Amino acid sequence: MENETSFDLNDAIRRWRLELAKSASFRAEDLEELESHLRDSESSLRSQGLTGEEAFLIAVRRVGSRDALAAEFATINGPSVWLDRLLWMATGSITISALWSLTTTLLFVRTVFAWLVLGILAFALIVGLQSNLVRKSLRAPLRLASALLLVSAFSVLLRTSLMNDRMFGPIANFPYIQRLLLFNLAFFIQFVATGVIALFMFRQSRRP
Amino acid sequence: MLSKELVAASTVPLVLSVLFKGESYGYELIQKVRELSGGKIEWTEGMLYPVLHWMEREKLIESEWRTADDGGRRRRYYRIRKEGRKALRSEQQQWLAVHTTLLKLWKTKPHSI
Repeated sequence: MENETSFDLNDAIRRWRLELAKSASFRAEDLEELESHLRDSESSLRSQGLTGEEAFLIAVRRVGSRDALAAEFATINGPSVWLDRLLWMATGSITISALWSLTTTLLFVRTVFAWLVLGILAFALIVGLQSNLVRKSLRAPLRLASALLLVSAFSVLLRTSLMNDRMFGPIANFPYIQRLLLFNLAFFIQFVATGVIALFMFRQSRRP
Repeated sequence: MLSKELVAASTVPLVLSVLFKGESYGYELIQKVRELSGGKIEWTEGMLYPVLHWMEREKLIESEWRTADDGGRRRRYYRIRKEGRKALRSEQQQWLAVHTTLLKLWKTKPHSI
């Protein structure tokens, strides 16, 4: 047993997992679960007298080839993998717009009171997103996207309310709501698009 | 060996029935069902895990990652939920209906169910 240094189980499992991760059909949690399964299977085989390497090879073979596994997992993860990618893309573009609206808003903030309100809201956002209820009900990209959307929504509102009439140029005479919508058209389109993706993500539920 | 269609139809009631007796994880579920069926029902990992995840999404079961008491290995434990118990009752009636009808047709006395 002592001279079995040539085979490193953890390293072999890591490489096996990397190979599986090449397929988009698995979520991180699926791989975690398959690894835990593989380790159970491997240690049971080893207790039957096989060497570490033999046990690993047979356990991998029993779990099945990557393509066969991926095909099975795709039946349940298929639509959500595609939506996840879409959502990550949306999250990327929201990140840029959130940062942009946040910096331009901060340029307008002159009073201590406004800074205080900003601080309290940021704190509430962090606490809210860390709560168990939100963590359980929202997937990682969805959670990030909604946080960023809240940040941009708030900055947009604050910025628009802090601006004086001359800054709006041709739309200065419009009523407040119309001014708000027109001035932040790009943001609202993004808001609706992310909302639609989120809705799809919640509604999809298919039997394998 | 069960036919592909029968495996697909019986996986959910089998999982629900095992979990009804107590929580379990994927590897153990496969072992238990193989043992109970005398090796006639051989589930593959690729088939079982997507079914488990679907059942969780349908709120029939719930799962939790926990470190085992024995080896310190992290496993995903599945537990039956209220909806699952309800589904199990209805599955039970349907399977028993098929079972008793077949037994009568084959003119065998139904043994204690």
